[in-house]
Amino acid sequence: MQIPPIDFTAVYPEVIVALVGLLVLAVDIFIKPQRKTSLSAIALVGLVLAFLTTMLIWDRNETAFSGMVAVDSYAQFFKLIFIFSAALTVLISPRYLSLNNISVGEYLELVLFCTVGMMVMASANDLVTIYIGLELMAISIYLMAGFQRDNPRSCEASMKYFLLGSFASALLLYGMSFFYGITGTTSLQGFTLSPNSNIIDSEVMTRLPLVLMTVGFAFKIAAVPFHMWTPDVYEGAPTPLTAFMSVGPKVAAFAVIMRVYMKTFGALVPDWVQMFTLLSILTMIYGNVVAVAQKSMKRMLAYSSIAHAGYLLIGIVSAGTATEMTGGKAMSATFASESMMSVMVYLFAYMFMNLGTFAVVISLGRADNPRDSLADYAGLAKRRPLTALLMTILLLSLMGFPGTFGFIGKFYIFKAAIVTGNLTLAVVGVLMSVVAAFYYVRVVLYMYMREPEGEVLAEGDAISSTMYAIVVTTMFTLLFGVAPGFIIDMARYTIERMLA
Amino acid sequence: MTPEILTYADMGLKWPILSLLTYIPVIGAIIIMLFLRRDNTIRWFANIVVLVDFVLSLRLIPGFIIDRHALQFVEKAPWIESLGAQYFLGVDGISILLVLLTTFLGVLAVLSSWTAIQDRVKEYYIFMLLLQTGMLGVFFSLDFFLFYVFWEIMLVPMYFLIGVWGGPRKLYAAIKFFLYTLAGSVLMLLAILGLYFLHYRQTGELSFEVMKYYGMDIPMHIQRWLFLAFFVGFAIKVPMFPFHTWLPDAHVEAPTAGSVILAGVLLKMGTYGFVRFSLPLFPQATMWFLPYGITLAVIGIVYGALTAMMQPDMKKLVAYSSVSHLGFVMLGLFALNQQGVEGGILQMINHGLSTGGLFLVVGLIYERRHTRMIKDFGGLSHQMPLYAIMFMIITLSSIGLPSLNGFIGEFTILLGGFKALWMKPVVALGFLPKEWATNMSTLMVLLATSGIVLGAAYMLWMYQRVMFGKLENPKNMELKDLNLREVMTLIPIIILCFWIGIYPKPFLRFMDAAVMNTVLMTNPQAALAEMKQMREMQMNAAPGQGMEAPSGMQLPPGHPPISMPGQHMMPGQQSAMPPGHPPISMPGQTPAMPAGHEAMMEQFRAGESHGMRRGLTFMEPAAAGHGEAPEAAHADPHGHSGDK
Repeated sequence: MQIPPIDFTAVYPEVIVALVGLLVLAVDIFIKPQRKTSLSAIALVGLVLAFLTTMLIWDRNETAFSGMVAVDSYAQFFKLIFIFSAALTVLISPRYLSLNNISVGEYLELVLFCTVGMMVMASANDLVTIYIGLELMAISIYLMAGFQRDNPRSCEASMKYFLLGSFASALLLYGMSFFYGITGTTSLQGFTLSPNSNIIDSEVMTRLPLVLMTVGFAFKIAAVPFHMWTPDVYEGAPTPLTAFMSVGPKVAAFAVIMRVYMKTFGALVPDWVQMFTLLSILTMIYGNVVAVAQKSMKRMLAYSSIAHAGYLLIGIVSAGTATEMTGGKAMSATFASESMMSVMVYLFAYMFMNLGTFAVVISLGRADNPRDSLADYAGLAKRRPLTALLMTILLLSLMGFPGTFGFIGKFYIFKAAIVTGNLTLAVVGVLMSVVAAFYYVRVVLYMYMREPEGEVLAEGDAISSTMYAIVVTTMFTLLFGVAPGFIIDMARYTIERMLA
Repeated sequence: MTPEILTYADMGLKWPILSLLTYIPVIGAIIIMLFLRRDNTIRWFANIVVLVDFVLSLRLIPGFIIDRHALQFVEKAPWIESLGAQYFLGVDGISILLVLLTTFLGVLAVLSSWTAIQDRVKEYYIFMLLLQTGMLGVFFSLDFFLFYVFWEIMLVPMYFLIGVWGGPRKLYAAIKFFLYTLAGSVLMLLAILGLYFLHYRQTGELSFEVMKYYGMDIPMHIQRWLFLAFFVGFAIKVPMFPFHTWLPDAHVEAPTAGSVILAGVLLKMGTYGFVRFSLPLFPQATMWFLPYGITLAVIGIVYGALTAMMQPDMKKLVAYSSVSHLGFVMLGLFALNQQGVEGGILQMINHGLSTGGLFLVVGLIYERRHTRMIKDFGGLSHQMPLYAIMFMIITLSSIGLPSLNGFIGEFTILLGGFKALWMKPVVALGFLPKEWATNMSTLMVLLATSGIVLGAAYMLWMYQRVMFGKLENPKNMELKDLNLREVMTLIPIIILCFWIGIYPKPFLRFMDAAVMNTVLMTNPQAALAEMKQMREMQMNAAPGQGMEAPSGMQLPPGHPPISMPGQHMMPGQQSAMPPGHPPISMPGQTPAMPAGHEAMMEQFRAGESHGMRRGLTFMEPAAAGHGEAPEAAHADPHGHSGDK
């Protein structure tokens, strides 16, 4: 048996991030406790390197490792999102970690390994690769969720996520094994590679892997009714990790979903469009309505992140519908790629605004008190005018308010829905975004229009790495809100090449 | 039917005046945010900023072309190219008065807050200035994407103004205002996207340009839904009858300046939306919706007036009077003829002036006494004679006393209403017996007229209870009369009220051509009748006698003639006006009709435009001939109303 050539340049970003993770772990042993912040610097430098190498292989369009890994700009686009979110997570963590006596070294190492897992998922061209990436990501998160060993909430979060996560992984694996059984390959091109050309119609069983894998992915993106773990895990986990986990795994799962469902299950579009339509409607309604009732910011943001998955699914459904549209192949291809592009733009926006919002939540926390209830935000505008202002912008962006990146994302999603004729989804989506406006604006209301009750903490807009993260995310949110052309062109370019 | 586009450079300006107007306030806000600390400095600075903005907006008047419909002072640049969104600003006859109203009321509102706002002064002025930017942006935008951005952004500062500086129930009012408006506008967003897609399907071009959507052939069943989505968005803003419940809350809780802006400008965005978008974009759906729209408008008029009568709180009374007045505006717009629409637009201005004035007046007394309850007052005219005079004039203007502005607006609207034949489409479809066509519009106008009577009743009754009688409440004994700054805020309004009331022609002339264009697109039948009459009048009238119609544009001395290379011109228009001919009227020449209307008429006859033919399916051609004899006297709305 001949060993196929190994092209490490194809996976440079993954390799670099993994090595830096190991480096952090090694340095952690030798470094004095009071100088642990330099670990963050190492991690950041590593991420910058990964960013540069990602740009190096940006334009390649091929597969590597005998077709296990896709090296295309679609994967690189998502790697950029992961690198950004990891870097922002590194920035927002130190304060929280030192307040809660969490070991910096192990934490950073897990964040980096998790990032590797997500990167592998984005560039997977084979079900096995997907699964490896997914498990690497998930196991890192199980560990990180339980980082505060003394805190029962944290342990509960870890346990819950672990049990439900393994169950979902098992279902996914089960689906993959059916897929292998039917097609005889684990490659994403499975159906087309199979010797039986009529396989889709002849086999009833082809729907089975589709359904099982959908359940697995729906768990990762926290779509209703597979969302049960989300609020508890988000609440119990350390807050910087919550921020990371509300973005990373979700984005990674969407990266995989778009690739798998458009390429592998392209012939089963009518089936999965139905499933995703239902999931999308349920997710939007449930996530937004339940978020209204939350008093804790972390829980509210958890439900809001569920709701965002619902909007994103609109884009997926639109992409599916577009491939079935009458009106010429060119037209339907355009609409399909436009719809996918809307999801990618939305994910990019979601990364900035959600991490920024969580950063604000972190910056308010104290050692004895996480201060994440809505009442803690009362009068924030007087105590910390800058934080309140930035938070307002980030919340407006989450709401999808014009002038922010969030609006651009929502706008493209709804445009895709209208263009492909998914009117119900569009109407539910906009009405639910009005509901969402209520709970986001309520936070603004507390910050600017309520007086705090009880003793008032003397605090100010202290300069810290968390504050940097907030400023950076807000800047990007505004910048791309006014001039989104760059991101849009980038997303369109990558998706057109992926679908071609 | 794309109107011609004249950029600011074409019009002899060196700088993009509309962008300047829009962004001067926001630049001012940024300067306040970053550099200014002392409260009084901020007050002075904010006042100067809005004043500069207002003075600059006056520059729009001298160069404005009134003899034909054109988008003027245009700035156009690609923005998000892959989407087809443009940075496209411009004014025409429909928006220019609203723009001037906005900058004008902006000055008064900021000036009036000098002593009223003592808490968080810096933020207050920042939000006031941001609001100004948002409102001007809405009126200037001619690209749907840009329009939507400004339309939404404007919500935030208003939300803060109500929520931070408002009354006791401010939080409730603020969030209600925010959610109501947002709910309306997100549906509008979907409709915009729908239009965008239809336009793409038909032309293969990605564009959000409003004027490109005019005359699009939209199937009726789609048109209805799009119309309804827009309707909800605008009707909430106006607010029309079943959607009005946010208004009293917002008005009562908002600070005085907030109320002035809210009533004066924000509500006009809804009505402006109808004129600019709903009517010309969906002519058939408008016809279909007319009976319901009219009914809601009339209910709004009567209901608003009746509810206003029962209010113990002066501000709430004025708020409900707004519902009633805006009902009139909607009635005028739905008349779909020249008088109705012009009256509607004029009434928007009038309402902005008189209701803005009323809120200022109520705010003055609230600042002194911290109550707005009518029962707390009485006999104030002894103590504050100057205040009493100002209050009286503004009250009368709101009632619609002849020689004041309200009268002109309401009269023109009712005139348009009588001519409108609202039930015609329904009759044509066989839903109603034939004679209803005339009876219904008469009935509706009569009902609406009762709103005027009721208006006089509640306003005068309030005035009487507050101003006359004995000065009994000891707290009122100490009240001081108006100071110079306060008089300064009211005098400009009063001057304008008289000006519009006595000589409205300059105001109406701004909109003639643009309104004619809108009517032609929405209801060609009425427009045709109108033009026919104007031509007959022109033939019969000896030159320079009796009626005056819009003449050529008036350029300031020394202004270079405007050349229009490569602009959109209709074939007919070229014959009416040779390309080289400078469109300046010579002394002695009597161009009685707005140039270009002739051409439109020709075009209409030839049936070239698809968009225009659609309206015909609903109205028999005979409708044009209706009521010609009595109309002869009414043919020219301006000469007519000017006589009163």
